[in-house]
Amino acid sequence: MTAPWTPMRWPAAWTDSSALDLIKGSAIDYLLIEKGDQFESVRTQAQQAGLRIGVPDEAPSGVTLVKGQWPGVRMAGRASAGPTGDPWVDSNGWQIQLAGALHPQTAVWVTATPPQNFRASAGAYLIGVADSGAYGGRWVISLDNQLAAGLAARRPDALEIWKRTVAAASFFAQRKAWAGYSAAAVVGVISDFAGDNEAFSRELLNLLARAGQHYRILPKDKAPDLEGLRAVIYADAQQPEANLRKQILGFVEAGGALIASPSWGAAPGAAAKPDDEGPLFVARSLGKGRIALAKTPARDPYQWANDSVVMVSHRYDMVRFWNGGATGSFYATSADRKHGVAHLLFYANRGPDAASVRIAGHWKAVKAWTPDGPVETIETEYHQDAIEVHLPQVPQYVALELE
Amino acid sequence: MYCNYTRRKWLSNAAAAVSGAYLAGSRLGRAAVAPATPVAVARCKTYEAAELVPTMQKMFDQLGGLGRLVKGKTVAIKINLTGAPTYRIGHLPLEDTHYTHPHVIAAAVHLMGAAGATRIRILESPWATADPVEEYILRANWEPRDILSAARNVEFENTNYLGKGKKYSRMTVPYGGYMFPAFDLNHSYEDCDVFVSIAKMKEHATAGVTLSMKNCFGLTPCTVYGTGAGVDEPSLIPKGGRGLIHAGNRGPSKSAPQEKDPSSPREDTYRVPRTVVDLISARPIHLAIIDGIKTMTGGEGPWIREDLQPAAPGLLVAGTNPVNIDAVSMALMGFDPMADRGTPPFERCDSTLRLAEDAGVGTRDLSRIEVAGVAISEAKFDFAGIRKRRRALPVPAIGIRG
Repeated sequence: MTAPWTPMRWPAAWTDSSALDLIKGSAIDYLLIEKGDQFESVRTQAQQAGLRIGVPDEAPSGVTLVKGQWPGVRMAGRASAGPTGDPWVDSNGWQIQLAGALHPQTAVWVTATPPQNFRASAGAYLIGVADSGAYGGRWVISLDNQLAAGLAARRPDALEIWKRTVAAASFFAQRKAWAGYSAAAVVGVISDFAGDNEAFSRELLNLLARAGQHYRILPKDKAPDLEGLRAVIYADAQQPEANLRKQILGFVEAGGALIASPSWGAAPGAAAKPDDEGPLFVARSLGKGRIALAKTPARDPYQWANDSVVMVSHRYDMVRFWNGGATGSFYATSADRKHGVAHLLFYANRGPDAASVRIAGHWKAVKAWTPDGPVETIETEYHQDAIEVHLPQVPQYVALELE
Repeated sequence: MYCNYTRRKWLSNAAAAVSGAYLAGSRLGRAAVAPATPVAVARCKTYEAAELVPTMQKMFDQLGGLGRLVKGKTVAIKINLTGAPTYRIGHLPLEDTHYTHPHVIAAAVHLMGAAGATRIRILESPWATADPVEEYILRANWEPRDILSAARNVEFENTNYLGKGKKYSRMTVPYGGYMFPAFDLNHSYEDCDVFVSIAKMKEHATAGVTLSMKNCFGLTPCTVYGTGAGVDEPSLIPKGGRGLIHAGNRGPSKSAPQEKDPSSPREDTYRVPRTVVDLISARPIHLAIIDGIKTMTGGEGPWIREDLQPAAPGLLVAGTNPVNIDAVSMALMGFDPMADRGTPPFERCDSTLRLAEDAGVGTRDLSRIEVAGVAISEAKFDFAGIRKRRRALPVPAIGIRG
C-alpha cells in the first residue's frame, strides 16, 4: 500500500477561497472539490498553490476509494455489555487492509462523514484521521457543517479542533513508509472476497478485527504467503483449487491450523480427541497441525471470528491491552523486520489514563508517539517474547515505534 | 461421582453439623454451637515459590495435613478471577490486586498433588464467556502451564455454563435456603470429593468483604443466573454478569429452582450475602485459602468507584471452615467479624458471616477460633483504617477503563 497524499473534501459552504489559508503549511495536498462554478476561484488558487484537485467520490488514478463508516464506539441501541464488557467499535481498518490486499499498488482513501448529531471534538477528528492512517490508508478529511462554519468564521474553538486534526494528518504524512509495512499476523484469511463469498468473508474480517485478532488477508487468486502464520481460515463456499489446497495442507502438516467450511471437502488426517471438538467444528490432526472443519456451511461470521481466536489461542496475541476501554490496533513491520510500529487506537471520547499494552515480538527499544509529539514518560518491561509498555494519560491514538 | 466427602469426616473437631433443624433454634444458641476449627495465619512477603510453598506447607500441617483431605481424591478449586482480564489497577498485574495470584494457585496444586490428590480441577466462571479458562487467563498475562504442570492430572474448567457436563447439577441447600432452595450448577461442583475456595483478601462494594465465602458467588453459571440467561432453559453461552441475583429483577431460567420469596427485598445488599450463604451450604467448602500477600483496598476490582490502592499485607490465611477463616481474615483486615449491618465494612449490607453463622456453617466468634501461626494482633493490616480515611474524602472520578 502507498500513501503519497493527504486528501480533504472541501466543505460545500467554503466558496470563499480565503479558506485555503487554513490548508496552508499543512500536510493536506489533495482537495476533493464539488463541481460547480462557485468553487472556481478555490480551484484556481489551490492549483496555483500546488495542490492536487479532484472530485468527491471519484477515485483519482492510483487511489482505491473505500466507502467507510465513522469510526468510534457504536452508541445506538441499549448496551448489552456490563461495566467491564467489551464495547462495540466501528472501524474502517479491515476495509483498508482488504483494499490494500486486492490493490497493493494503490493508495487507499476512506470516505466517511461525521454522523448526525455529531459533536465535534479534537478527539473525534483524531480518531477519524488515525483510524485510517494507522492501517496505511488515508481518511478523506470531511468536516461536519458546524465545524466548517466555525472555521470559516475563525472561531477559536473550531480553530483548536482544526489544529489538532491537521497535526494528526501531518503525523501520518511524515511517516509515509509505515503504509508499506506488512501486517504482523497470526492468522491468514483466504477468500476471493467476491460473489457468493463477499458478505461472509468481509464480515469475518470486520469481526476478527473487533475480536482483537491480527490477520493477513490472502486473496485466493495469488499464491498465499503463509510464512509466520499459526492458522488460516478458508471460508469460501467453493472447494479450493488443487495447488492452493496442497499448499494449505502442507502448512498444516508443518504445524499450522486450518479452519474451513464443509466446502473444503474431505480432510485428510486422523480424528482428534473428543475434547478438541467444539459445537461448531469437527477436529482432525494432520502431521504436526490440525484441521477444524465446520459442521455446517459458514453462516455466522461472529461465531467463526470468536471461535477462531480461541482455536488459534490468546497465547499468540500480537497485541494485548489493559485499561484501554474500546480499543483497536494495527501492528506492522518493515520488510527486513528490523522496524515495527504498533498503532494503538482508543475509541472512547478521551484517551485512557493508565493503559498498558503488550506487543509480541523481540524488540530492543520502543518509542511512543502521539500526533502532539513523543510520550516521554512510558515505562517498559521486556519479556521473553514480548514488550509491555505502560502509558500515562494519552490521547486516542498512540504509535509505538519498535526497533 | 457424587461429593461424598463431608467436612464431618475430615474435621476432627467439628462440633456440629448443618441441618434443617439448625435454623429453628435461637440465634445466640445457634452461634454458640456453630462449628469452630483452627485457622492458620502466616506472613508471606512475596509470591516466590521458595517462600510460598514452604509457608503454605506449614499452614496445611498446622491444620492437620493436606493428605487427610485430598489423598486419593478429586479436588475442585474455585479461584477468583473477578471482572474482565483487561482491567488493571493502574499498570499493576491483575494478580497483584484483585485476582487470586497464579503462584498461590500453583503452590496449592503442587502441595495437593504431593499429598496424593488424584485429580485437581481449577474452576472459575469467567466474565461473560464460554471460552476455556486457560484462554481467559492468557489475556491476563498468565501462563496456564505454570498451574497445569504443578501436579499430575490438573485441568481447568469454565463453570459459567454447562461446560463439559451433560446436564447441570442440582445442589440443594441443606437448611432450605435464605434465597434459593437449590442451585443448578456446572457438574464440576458435584463431581468432586473435596471442594476448595482460593480467594483474595479484599473489600467488596456489595458485600462489605470478599473472602472465601463470597468467592463462591461465582459458582452460579450465568447461563442460568446471568443477565442473558435463558428464560425457560439455560442459554448456551453466558452473557453479562449476575444482575438477576443482585437486583432480583427476574428469576433464573425456569428449569432451575426459583427464588423462595419473590416479595423479599430487591436490594443487592440483602440478596447477595444470603445467596452466598445458600451457595456455600449447597456446595460446602472443605478447605479455604485466602491470598492476602498483595491485594487492593477500596473494593473488589478496578471498576469500583473508590480511591482504589494496591496493598501488600503480606498474609496468607487457611482453614477448613469458611466462616472461621473469613472471621479471622476480617480481623486481620482490622474489621470486627461480629459486625452487623450498619457497622464497617457492612455499612450498607448484611454480614455474610453472620448469616452463615446463623445457618450453622461456622462461628465468627474469634474467642472460639484457634489461630495457628502468627497472632492476629501481630499480622493485622489496617483495611478498616484506610477505609475510614478514604471515605472521609470526596469520591474520585473514575478513569477511562471502557
